[in-house]
Amino acid sequence: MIPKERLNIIHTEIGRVIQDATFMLAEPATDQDATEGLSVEPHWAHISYSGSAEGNIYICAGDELARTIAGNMLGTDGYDSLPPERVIDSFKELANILTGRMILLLYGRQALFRLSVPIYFRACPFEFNNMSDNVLMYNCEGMILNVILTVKEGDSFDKDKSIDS
Amino acid sequence: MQYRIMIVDDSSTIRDIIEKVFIIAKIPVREFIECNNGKEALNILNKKWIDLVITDLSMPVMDGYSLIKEIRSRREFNALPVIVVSTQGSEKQKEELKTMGVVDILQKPFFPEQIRDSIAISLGRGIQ
Repeated sequence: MIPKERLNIIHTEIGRVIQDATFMLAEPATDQDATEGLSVEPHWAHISYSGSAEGNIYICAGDELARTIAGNMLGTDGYDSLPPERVIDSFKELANILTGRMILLLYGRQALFRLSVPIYFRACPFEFNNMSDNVLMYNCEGMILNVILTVKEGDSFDKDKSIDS
Repeated sequence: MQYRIMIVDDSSTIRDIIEKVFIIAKIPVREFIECNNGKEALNILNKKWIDLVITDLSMPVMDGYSLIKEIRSRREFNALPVIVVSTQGSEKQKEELKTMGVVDILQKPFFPEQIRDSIAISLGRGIQ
């Protein structure tokens, strides 16, 4: 498990990256239900990484937030009319961006990793029950974005692995 | 002079964002050529004159590393400027890419000004 102190720093830093990528306020949230406001089948994107260590990053958001993210990233008004493939592509790209930064924060700038191609899917929010490792929750202008990190057992996150921002 | 710009990224979102930077920066573009991966890019490079390649690293079919290696192995593309825009930020990767003649390496998410300045330098234009 990642030490709580380190996880808190990562929580804040990833919030900044979400803001830069999506042009939305993304406040780290800790006191809300991770499934709050999620639609029956929220949007998910998953990337695995391997190299100096192994793990997975998932992001999960309801339909309104996924559409808002896509609209903001693409700089288009009227995100309700965005075709589904644009919403999916933007969501996958956000997962890609967050994974890249998460790896830097966890393992430092010297570690080498290979990232999988992002996979998009829609699934029941109760999938969270099987992902108890590390859920980082963000309040994005009233909508919840979850970033879930699962790291392979045995990885150590000691002080030698500096956090670069 | 108008430029022919190749953008190699499996994300259409990123390709759109990069194209918008050119428009906002008023860099004259004759044509944007979008490719999903390195293989598509190489096929087009064999047929068309390209002034600048902007590429991601992680892509299916053929990744950005393989594309850059192929470009640099061929005399006709020796002077072709390449910018990397990637989520990956390892120092080792950056050093390796620099030795491969990459002009600039930008990490996503990037600010439009960063990529605008990088494009301007690559095309030999003053930063405006």
